[in-house]
Amino acid sequence: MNSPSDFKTEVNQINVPEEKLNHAIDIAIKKGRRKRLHVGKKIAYTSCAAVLLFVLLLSSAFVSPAIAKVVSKIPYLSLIFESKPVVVIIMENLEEKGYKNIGIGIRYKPKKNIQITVEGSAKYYNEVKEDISKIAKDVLNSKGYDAYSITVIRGQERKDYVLNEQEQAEKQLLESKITKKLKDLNFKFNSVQTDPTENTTFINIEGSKAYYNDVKNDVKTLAKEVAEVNKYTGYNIKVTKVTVKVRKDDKGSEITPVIAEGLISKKEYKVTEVGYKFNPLTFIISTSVKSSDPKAKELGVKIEKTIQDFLRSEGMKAILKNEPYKINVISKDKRKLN
Amino acid sequence: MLDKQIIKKAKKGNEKAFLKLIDNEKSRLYRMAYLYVKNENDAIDIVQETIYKAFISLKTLKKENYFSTWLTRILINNALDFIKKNKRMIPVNDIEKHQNAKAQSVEERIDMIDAVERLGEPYKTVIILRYYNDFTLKQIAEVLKCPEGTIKSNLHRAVAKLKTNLREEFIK
Repeated sequence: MNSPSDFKTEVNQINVPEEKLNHAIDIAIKKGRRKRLHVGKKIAYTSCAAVLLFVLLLSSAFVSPAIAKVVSKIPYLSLIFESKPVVVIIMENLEEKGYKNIGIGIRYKPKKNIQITVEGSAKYYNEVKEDISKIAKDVLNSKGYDAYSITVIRGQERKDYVLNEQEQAEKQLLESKITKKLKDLNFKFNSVQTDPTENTTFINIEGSKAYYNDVKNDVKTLAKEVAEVNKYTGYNIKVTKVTVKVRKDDKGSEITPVIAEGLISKKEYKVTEVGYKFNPLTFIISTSVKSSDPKAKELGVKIEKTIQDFLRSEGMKAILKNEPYKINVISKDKRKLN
Repeated sequence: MLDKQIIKKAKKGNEKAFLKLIDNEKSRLYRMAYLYVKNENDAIDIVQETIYKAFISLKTLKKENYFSTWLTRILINNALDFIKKNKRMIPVNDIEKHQNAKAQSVEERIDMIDAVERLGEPYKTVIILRYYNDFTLKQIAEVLKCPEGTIKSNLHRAVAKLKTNLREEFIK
């Protein structure tokens, strides 16, 4: 080896780009400062939250007798009746935080579970799943619901078939021409839909069955003519008569979801299912306790009382209008508990 | 010692003190990084990463005396990480350079840096630390977290290898 000092001199001849290097150091420090601040902030927030909680605790002790009285007067289930279903609240909270393309579902069997579906790349999913699960948990905690597990899964993006420009034009042209023609001739109809991929146009007739039978062939021929005039031969025309009947909400369907959410969401009630039937109006509450359980009776009474408090509240009186009702709390082995 | 006080200040979060320390070390750090990656931009990136890591974890440094060796360790780890990550990528011009280098090596001056470069790990690092940084065996052992004996034998082998390499070039 020539000499170790040779190496050193050679290395020291390596040109140092001072300006660039200083700039890089600046950036490193800035980055580091942000990181340091971050940690500091976290501590500050945590301690702030602790102080706030403590203050709340103290102040609520002073004010509480009054507040507690008011709150205790409102039955537990009435509070739920006043607010939106829990999944809607979770959804809204997620949307507020800027999450889009979110699906949410609730399931009671075999395990009580809330499932949130996120669309997007695997990377995005991994980034957000913790946060989403936390937001949902916060909502559940705020309502005191402890019976659900939360899963966040990644949904596959579904892409609807998109018509190309030519098909788009075809669809628009046919729909408008046929609509115009039928309108000119005073037919009663409520929709004209063209599906260019299937060469089919659907026309929905409005009115009575007799009217439908009367006009359907005319409408069909007319529409076919319109299509042919516009050089679309071989089009199928389907004339339909579909009417949607909306059943009015009955009392049971208004009340049952509230009872269900309130009782199923808390472990203490051990409720697995809530249903209802008419004549007389009966609410059926299925639980997971066995009738042999020494505490089964107690639970049955507690559930009945919770529901009674709710149904006797002012808001419910208006809905029930003195209609008699029954409450059946059923054990796992199908015995009545109340 | 003045240095010790500055380091203590920096540890408490004083940025000016930290910058002063870095100012003393930056050229050395850059040149070391350059020895590993052989190009300006990557070397700067490595120095930047090193300083960032040092800045956020300075408070974990136990003894002020070890600041320089500590910083060196971070740099070497970063540089080796960098090389590992980019191992499979050989830019096309680099291949050409290598071929040309071989062809011309007889006429070319004997470049000590090139010779060190060709040593490979762990010999390269010991040579750099010993002959560029003038670290003692103990300091090198501290940086590389190895026993002193290992460093000693590695250094021996490195020097021997370097000698043969250089002689070969003469003969060619």
